Amino acid sequence: MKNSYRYRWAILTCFVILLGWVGCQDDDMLINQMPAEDRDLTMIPFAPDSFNLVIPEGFPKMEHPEDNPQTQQGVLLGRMLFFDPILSLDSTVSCATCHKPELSFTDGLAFSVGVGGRTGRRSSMSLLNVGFHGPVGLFWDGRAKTLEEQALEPIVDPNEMANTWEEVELRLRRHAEYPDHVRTAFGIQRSSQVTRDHVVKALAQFQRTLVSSGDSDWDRKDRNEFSLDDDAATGEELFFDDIFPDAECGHCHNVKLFTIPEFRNNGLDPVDSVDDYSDKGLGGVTGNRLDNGKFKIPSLRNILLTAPYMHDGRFETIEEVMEHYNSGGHHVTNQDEDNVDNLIRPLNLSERNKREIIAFLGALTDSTFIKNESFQSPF
Amino acid sequence: MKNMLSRILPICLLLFMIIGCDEDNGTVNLNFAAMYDGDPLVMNEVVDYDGSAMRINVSEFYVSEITLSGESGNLTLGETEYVKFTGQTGDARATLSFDVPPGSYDQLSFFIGVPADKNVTKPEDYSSDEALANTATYWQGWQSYIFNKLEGRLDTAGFGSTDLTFIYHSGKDELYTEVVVPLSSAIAVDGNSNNIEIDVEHNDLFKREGGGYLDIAAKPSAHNPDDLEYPTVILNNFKTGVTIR
Repeated sequence: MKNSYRYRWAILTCFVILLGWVGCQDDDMLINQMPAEDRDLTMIPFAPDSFNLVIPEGFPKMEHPEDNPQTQQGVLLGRMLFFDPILSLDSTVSCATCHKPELSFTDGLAFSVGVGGRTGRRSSMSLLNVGFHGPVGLFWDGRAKTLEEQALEPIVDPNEMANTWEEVELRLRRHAEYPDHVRTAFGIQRSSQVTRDHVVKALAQFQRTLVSSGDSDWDRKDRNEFSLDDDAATGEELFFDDIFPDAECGHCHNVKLFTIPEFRNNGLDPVDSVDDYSDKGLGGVTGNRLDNGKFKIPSLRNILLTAPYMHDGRFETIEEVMEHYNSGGHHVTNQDEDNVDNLIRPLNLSERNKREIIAFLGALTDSTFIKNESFQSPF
Repeated sequence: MKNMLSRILPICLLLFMIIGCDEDNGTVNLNFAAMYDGDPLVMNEVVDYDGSAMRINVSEFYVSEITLSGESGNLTLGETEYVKFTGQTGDARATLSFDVPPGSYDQLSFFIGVPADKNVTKPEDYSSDEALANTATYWQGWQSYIFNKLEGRLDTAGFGSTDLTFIYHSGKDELYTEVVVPLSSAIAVDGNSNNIEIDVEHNDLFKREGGGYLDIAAKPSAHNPDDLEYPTVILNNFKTGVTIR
């Protein structure tokens, strides 16, 4: 009887240890150890519902690829994938690691940190209104023409998720839930049919939902529902050159998105020749050396939430940014190839002017957007 | 059988007419070339501006109501398009292409700018492939499209360094300017491709009526909608500065 009692305790102890050991295993390791079952999904209904995207009045039309219409099921899948580290090599990095909702989908770092603590060479861009990217494409250098094309890169970038698409597809096919979601969004029939195409399409659909709420102070002022305080109101006039001195901001940060679909060299670095830019930006994509030093113009909506600034995060504060532009920046010494924008010249703004412009930029903060429940992690 | 023929024959005729008409359509390319003192303008290269060194690095403008005229009457090619001279490493050129029905034409006309009925619209009213969708060519302060941009740098000290940036943007309904140019020889569109070579003489754009040039150093920017002196001169000079080669 006593031996039987000990025997039972030994079995129970082994069971608890086994349970603990299994519980400590990484989920993805477990998934990888599962047999590669090719599940039939046809019992799951495929009847996607169109997504009702709400765009504030006066915003441009958002264009959706014909082969990737936005659906509720696609957006949900994209949201899950966006916040799920399953896409990265060691399941530690998700899209949201570098694009945090509370920071307007940036990460607060000069250079984003990927798998193994590796860092890239550029700062993560805000995803606010990313669906309105227009003809300039995505990334600081515009190398991806669509959100679908863009989403292919971070998964395999060694400084970001460092994974392979083959591994991602394998994990998702074996996953307990993702094949079902891909079925409801895209109508696959078997779990083995999950591909990278579904992943990038779903991510793109989710990212196209990241639209301004239209509730910033400036938006409400624009609809005559709110009055900016004196500093912000004067700042707006300086911003759009309505009063002197011209701050010239509005040329590149025009309404309603507070950007324009172009690339510009904003004179960050003193160089003798355009060949001397350490980061070639657009020139690295086009191969045209007179595009060197040009980068995509970021939106100023939520700009006070997205420090540090510039493609390499060199400015920690918005005051430093103002000082850069007020100083007139740096032109290329060789004037024959000076491609720095003509508006980069001393502005003669006073300290008060600068404070007023920053007050105006504060009116572009969209707190409703960053708190939107639909943009938070679903896990 | 007769009944069948009477049904098929009209369909065949219609098909023939459609195919036949389509074959007669041709292409007309408006090849705009930026010039300076009679030579092709290379963006950012030094040119002589009334004795001073100057570099032009931005020249772009809207063209509206583009019309071919001639024996075949008036044909509107396009409502509003944008000409943006590019070519930082070579001649600055831009081309607009149109599908044109057969006919004979000996005159081209267009307006620089955006017509008043469209100038009350905004970029968000258009899809991204339309010329008027570009937020870079709309100015909130004026509530107007920017009809043209002409930018560059001028040597004000005479030391060979183009030290002063000039930026002339215009955009008010009263600046909407018609340009009429006879073609050097009539073009006959008949299923073929036709090129019309249009030179925009940039030296002329800065000339004052009655002689002399705009004093760039005295007024290097034109932003204020209430001060249209320089934009008026520049826009008006398109009338004579645009010629057919």
